[in-house]
Amino acid sequence: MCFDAEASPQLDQAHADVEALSADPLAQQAASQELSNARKSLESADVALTKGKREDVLHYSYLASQQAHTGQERISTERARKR
Amino acid sequence: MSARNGFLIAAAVGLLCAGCAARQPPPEITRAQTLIEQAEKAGAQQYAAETLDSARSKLRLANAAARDGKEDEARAHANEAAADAELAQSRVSSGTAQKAAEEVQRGTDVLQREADRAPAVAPTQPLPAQPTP
Repeated sequence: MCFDAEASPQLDQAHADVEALSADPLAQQAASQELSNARKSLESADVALTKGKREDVLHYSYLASQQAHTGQERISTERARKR
Repeated sequence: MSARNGFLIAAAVGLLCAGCAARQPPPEITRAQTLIEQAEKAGAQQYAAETLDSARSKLRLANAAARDGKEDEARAHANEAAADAELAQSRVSSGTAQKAAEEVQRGTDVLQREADRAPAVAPTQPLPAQPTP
């Protein structure tokens, strides 16, 4: 119980980051690899949560968020080039 | 050389090789190191200093864990370092593309202003009439 409460902010943030990336209309075109990586990491984080592995939840949540941010940067690059 | 000596030498060489193999860093560490170097060369210190520092710090943790024989921990730190380094590099690309777009925009604005001012400096003399064929 305590573990879930501690792990959830990072996992919630990772879900929000990946959701934001996938909602971007340019995501598939400019950041498909990053989106795919972020989704896999997020899935691993969710699985780790069900197994009660706190360290793994934090680790995969971190990876998912960083990969989603990388995707957002790729999209920003694409937008700047199109201007 | 006796058969016993030969066996001892072969065993010693085997142990040495095993020692070398054990000291090889996990491939995740090598990958993270490469990505950090690439980000540094690309200019991440200017565009993503904090993210680059985070990558370096995690790589140090990965190396320390590898030295202590904690392979899983080393891999985890190295993977986080690699994710940081990739983010840093993507921030460099985005920053430079943004800068280039702003330069182009500034150039376009200057041309537009020049074009807007053009009628005010138009020649007052009429152009010479073209000869008719």
